[in-house]
Amino acid sequence: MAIIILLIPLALVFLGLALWALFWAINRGQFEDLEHQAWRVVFEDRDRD
Amino acid sequence: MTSACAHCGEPAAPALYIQQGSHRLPACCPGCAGAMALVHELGLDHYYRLRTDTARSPRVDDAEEKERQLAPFRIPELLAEYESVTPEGRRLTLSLSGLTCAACCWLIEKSTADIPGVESVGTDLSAMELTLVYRRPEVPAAVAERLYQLGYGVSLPGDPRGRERLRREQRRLLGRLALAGIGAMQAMMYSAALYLGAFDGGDQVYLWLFRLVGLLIATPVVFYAGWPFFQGAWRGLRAGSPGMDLPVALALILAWGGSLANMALGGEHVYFDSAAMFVFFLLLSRWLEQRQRHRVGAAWQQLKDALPLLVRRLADDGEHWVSSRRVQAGDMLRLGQGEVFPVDAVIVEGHGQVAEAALTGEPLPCPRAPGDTVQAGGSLLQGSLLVRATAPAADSLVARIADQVARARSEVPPMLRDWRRVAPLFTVAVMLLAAITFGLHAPAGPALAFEHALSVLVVTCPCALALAVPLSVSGGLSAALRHGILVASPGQLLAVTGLRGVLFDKTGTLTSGRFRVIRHKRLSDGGYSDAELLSIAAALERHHPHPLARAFQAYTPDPALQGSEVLHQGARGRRHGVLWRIGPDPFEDPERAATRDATRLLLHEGDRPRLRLWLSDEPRPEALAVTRALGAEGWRRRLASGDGEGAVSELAATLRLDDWRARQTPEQKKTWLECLAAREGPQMMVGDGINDAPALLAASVSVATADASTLARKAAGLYLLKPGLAPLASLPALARRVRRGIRQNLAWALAYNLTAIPLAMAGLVPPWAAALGMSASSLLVTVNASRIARWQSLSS
Repeated sequence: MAIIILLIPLALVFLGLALWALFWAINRGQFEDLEHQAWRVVFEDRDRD
Repeated sequence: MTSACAHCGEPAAPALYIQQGSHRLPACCPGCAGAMALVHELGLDHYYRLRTDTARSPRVDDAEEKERQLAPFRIPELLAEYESVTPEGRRLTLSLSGLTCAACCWLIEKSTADIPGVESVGTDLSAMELTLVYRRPEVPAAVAERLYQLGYGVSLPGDPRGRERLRREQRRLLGRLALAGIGAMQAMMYSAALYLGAFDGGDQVYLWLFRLVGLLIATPVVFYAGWPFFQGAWRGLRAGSPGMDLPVALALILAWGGSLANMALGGEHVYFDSAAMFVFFLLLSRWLEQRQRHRVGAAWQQLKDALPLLVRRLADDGEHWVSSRRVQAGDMLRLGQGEVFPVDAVIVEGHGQVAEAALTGEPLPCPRAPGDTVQAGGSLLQGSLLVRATAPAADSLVARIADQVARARSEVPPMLRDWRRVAPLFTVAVMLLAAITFGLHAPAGPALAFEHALSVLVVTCPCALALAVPLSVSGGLSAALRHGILVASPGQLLAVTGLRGVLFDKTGTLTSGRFRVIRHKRLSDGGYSDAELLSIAAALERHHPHPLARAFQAYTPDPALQGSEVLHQGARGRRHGVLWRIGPDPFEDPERAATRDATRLLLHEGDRPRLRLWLSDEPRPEALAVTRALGAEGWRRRLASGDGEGAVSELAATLRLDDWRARQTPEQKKTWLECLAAREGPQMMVGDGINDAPALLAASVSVATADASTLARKAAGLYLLKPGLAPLASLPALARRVRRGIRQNLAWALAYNLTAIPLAMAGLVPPWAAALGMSASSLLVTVNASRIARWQSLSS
């Protein structure tokens, strides 16, 4: 059981990281245009020709 | 053989193509050819393979149009209002038009990113926006020009700051929702262990660890994610009318503070999970509601393009493009063909054809000469004018009507208003009940009494009641949107169920406003057949901007006719050396009885009249079905038009309307409508022009058609998004459905609250079950409202 004392704070650290990533994405506007961005992968990047 | 233009999909011109390697790509016009050449030159041919829709044809041959579109981007002082300065450079958001699919975004980004001085380009397909970050002042003009060459329309957005504020608000709410969702799940996970008694009798260290983690997670959820509720509660208190947010805020602070107190004083229970869950479900409903509202709002924004931003002003040192807002009374302005007047003005020099359909409802452009007045919103179809502004843009007739409409639009639906009056009472009652519960259970100890009082606060959370009406209404709005009706005023949608009659406008509403040759007669025999004469007329009218000229699109233009030229009234051209001319028929109509008030044209070969033509617009094909459907609702159907008796009575007879009035001024239409409303009850007005605006504003329910003038749209509470009247037929059924949804939701919310409150007061509901029950109830209301959003009319 004692391992919980270590595991729970570790889980909290991961939670914090996940939230930080989510807010980073929201503030970069990544949830605003879900249609066009989904297509990006299909378009070739001309610079690599 | 006909082939399609490889760029826009229109029929291609015979000798126009672009050579690309071994391929010959057909084009329809030099604009499309130029766009394809540009796309190829930039190495972006990939666009044509990936796009899912054809592009819009650029109009490069129209230098005036190009100048007008691009001019705003060359005026730094105008751009300054739209720019913001960021560390990466200056940032500008532009409105785009003509985007058809994601490939357009790719093409735009790729083709503009290598313009010198551009730091970054981002497009947003759903908002039709381009965000440009740049360092050199000449960049916006260069980007705008390239987009124009590719066939996209580009303009400065209407209200940049408002849009930015909206975006920040949306992002913040999304962040709050995400935090609350993740936090609620985490908090529940730790609480489950506590509830299950995993540590009962065991080591107290683990119990404390789990409680502490619950506190750590719930605190940001309650105070960051739940902040809007505290704000709302404070606002309500300060305004003296406690709203829905007050019991929510109180429950949150009690659940959080009470748990903390229990921890400190060695109490048995903590409620961090209940608090987090509560915040999450409330935010979820709020977020769903905001999204629905913004979707309707965005559609509004796109339709709000009334007057031009820029105009050419004459100064001592020549002509300059200036912002329309800076025009003062007395300024001299020059307007070219196709431009829209930004202000009310008097013509100083020049003749022109001015279409004021937006203002007067008159579909035919009128010739205007020096000394005549023109009004903001009118467009110059032909000619070039020098005018003197009589008032600044903000004082034009159009702007004043728009203001009036904006005020009318800020109304709150009556049912929502009633609810807002009840809300403070409800809030006070809930808090009283919680206090009574605390008193009832006080003998059993303060901890237990606190727990039961908290349950009462949470379980009776009036959200289900508060959501019942607005969510059903907004579900109705999106159902209406899917059926082609944009609802600007939700109150009017609900009012549809009580209507007693409907008043239609004629031209552009019951008729399409699109002219057709209904009759033609050869006058003197020059050896031509009817078909030949019609195709000569079609060739003459081919490039004419007048709405009547569209009537000739049904005929093949005669190829022998050369150099057709647009006249002050009509058009002329040469065919085998002989001058042909078409124009208004100056003679008395010999067949007046048969043709009613049709517009007449006369085609001349030299001096000899050859063909007389009668043109008229037709009732819309679905008009009869729609008026019949509305008649079946028990509504009286009437017609009011500015046209002459003949045409109006005939249309009324064709559509079997109950009553009609001809030669009506805008004021008379309004008076008649008010009379009918006083005599029979609420009336609906359906119209398309500014001449209908007074009646639209006076009606209980007002509908503008899709091709209505911007101002008629602003005056109307509902408007049709697609040409035609068909969606009107399903409107009464939809309104009834929304009303039924509201009744169901209110009934459920009341029944739930009346059952849950006594149970909670009796101390039978623990706080976590109260939070669950409350959320389930709100969710049920939300789901029921979304059923309204999926409503289908029986006919479709």
